[in-house]
Amino acid sequence: MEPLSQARAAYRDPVLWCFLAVMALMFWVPELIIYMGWADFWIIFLTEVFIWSLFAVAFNLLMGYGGLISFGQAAYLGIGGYTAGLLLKYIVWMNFYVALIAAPIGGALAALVIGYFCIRRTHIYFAILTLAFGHIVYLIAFKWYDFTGGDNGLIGIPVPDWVKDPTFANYYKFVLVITMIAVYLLWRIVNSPFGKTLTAIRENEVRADFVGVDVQRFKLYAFMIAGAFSGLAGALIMINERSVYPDLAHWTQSTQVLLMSLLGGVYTFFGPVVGAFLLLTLDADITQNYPEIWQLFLGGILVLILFGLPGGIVGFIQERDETSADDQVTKMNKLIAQFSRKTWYFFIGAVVFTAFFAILQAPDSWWISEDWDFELLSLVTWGIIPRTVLQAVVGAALLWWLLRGVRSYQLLFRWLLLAFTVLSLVLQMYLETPLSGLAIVFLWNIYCFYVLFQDDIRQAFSDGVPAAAEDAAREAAD
Amino acid sequence: MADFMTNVFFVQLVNGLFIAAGIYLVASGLSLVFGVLGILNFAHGSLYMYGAFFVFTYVGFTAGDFWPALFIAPLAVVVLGIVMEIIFLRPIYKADPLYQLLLTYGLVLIFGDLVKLIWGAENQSVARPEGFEGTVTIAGSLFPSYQIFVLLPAGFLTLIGLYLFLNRTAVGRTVRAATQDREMIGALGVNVRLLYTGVFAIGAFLGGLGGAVLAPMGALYPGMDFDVIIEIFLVVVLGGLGSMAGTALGALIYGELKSFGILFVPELESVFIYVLMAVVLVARPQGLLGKKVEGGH
Repeated sequence: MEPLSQARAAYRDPVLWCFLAVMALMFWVPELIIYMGWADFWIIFLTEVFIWSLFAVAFNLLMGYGGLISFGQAAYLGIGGYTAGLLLKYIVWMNFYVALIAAPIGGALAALVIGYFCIRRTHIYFAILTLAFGHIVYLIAFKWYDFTGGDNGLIGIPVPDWVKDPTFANYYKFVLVITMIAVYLLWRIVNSPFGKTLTAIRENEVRADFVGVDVQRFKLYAFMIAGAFSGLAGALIMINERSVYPDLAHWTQSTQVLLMSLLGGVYTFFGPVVGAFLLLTLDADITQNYPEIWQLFLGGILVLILFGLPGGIVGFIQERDETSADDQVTKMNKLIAQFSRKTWYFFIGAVVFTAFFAILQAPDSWWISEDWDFELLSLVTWGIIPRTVLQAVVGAALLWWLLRGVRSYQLLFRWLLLAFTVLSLVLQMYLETPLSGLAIVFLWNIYCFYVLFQDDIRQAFSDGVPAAAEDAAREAAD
Repeated sequence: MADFMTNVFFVQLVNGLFIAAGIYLVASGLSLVFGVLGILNFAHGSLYMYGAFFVFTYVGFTAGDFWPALFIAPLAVVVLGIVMEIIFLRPIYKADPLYQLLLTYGLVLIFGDLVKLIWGAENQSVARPEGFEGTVTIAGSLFPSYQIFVLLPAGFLTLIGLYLFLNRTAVGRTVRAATQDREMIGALGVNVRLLYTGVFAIGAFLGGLGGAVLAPMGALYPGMDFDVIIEIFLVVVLGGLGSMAGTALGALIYGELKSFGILFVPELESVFIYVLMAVVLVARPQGLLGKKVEGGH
């Protein structure tokens, strides 16, 4: 295929359009939440998820596509937040939108200056330099009282009236639209010749240099683009809280975004989005119950990912089973064979996570609760461990049975499988499983749908163009 | 007036030496481990923090007996370091350096919260040992006696001890050879695994010693690991990664710059060292005394 048509085909990529479609549907989620009478917390929470997704995707442009691990990306979050915050706070006639546009510009300029020093070194040196410069941004925000307000932060930043909507729905929608646009732009960047060159540099810098690529310049541009979008994310966070503190630029924020990318999968475009969703859900769960072990938990996840799941969750899903490819087996069966193995991992993961977080949330009811009576219908009053064991046994039996049947009655069982995935979600909601358990099962659902429908989705988009992200994943595997 | 200025100059010079000695104690271990194992250990700051907290616990148990803690706390850190090396680092020596960096970073997070769980999130402090609470007068200026009689000698002794160990003993020669060519050392029949564990243990000891010596001089708090790790990274990168002499030079520059920075621009004292580091890295990417290697790590 010619390069140009390949590039054009990338825009027809189903994953991108599915993502945008889901995002578009989420436009009405606040109405749903208000209609159902759920807490406003959910709207704020989702707003945060969008902002962090944007931040994580921007960060992953450096880490996943450029191979440049920045330990100080929160600096640009802080610079964006402070740029917009200072403009709005101290310049009376400042227009809200002008301040919002100034944030990414500020982020890009800061990245230009810092990047000028950082990109000269690679790998470990780059990591240390970004860490050091990130820390200096934090120190300036923290210590320069006259300008940034020091550790008191900037508070009471004026925002337009529509942002102050009591249900938070307006700002939610605003952030949603900006995130969609920004992620689409990043997608275009990643799939442009620029993005491909960046990946080439990641793979082999010396060779890229030999074929005439100005390596330093490309890295600097990537650094600036990541800085700009991070700055935008910072401004969005600032407006969400109507205040900005030095903590926004603190290294813990850099850690978070690093983990989001790793958890979701660094060699995939949308991996960081999944990572952001998951990590923020876990955060909401754990900090609610055990705030003091949050870092411990993050560190544990990091070590586990590095040892067990280097491709991240999305990378794991997209990984191809080349060895099981057999000409005799039909395409569908091949798919199912691959599906079943991963489904098992996912299912076991979902059960373990559900149990773990159920225990975290209700530490007293590990075994049985006090008003326990032995009836299936009062499953809710069962303790967490029996409930989880039951879930696992029933789920595993159903799954086993379904997957056995898949080979013989493909279409019927495909639909049964779909019904089963939704059923498990309904069951989890009925059992009032904690947030993180729900998040895992929700992801599991999306995964099942993705795998079972991917042929149909591909066909709907007229040809079998593999997603660019998958290409990258395969390149990485090679 | 001129007399007053020389006096201030002298005081800041000595204060800079204090800072340099403290930072050198911690940074030397990091530099040694990087030189031999090729791993930039993010968790070195955690080892330093544990050294300090072990002193706190020991002094608490024995009701003020400080001196044995200076030796016992680093030994406890060595045990921690060896366990860490065997469980986490051994499987990843051949992995991408960034992967190693991320792993040790994960360990920093875990160690940091464990400190909170064990010792609590509040600031703790260790009293200075008896007889060293006061000040001494040198050339007409007052200095805290703990810094003069404990910190500075500890820094110098470590510097000299490391020099003698690396240059005058057989084991030290092997270690130095390992910094030059790790594969060749293995081919010559040296037990590389043992060597790595040993070097990591020495590095952990130095980190723990740094924490122990510095413990009475400031507050102990979860998060002190991260404050120190950035400083020692700066020092080590400034001097040249893996170069022991470079680390000492980097520590000296860092200490004096910080000391005089506080005198002239108190608000932005920490900015100077970053500017210097940026200049050095542009002009001399391998650090002041580093070997000239590009790429690789």
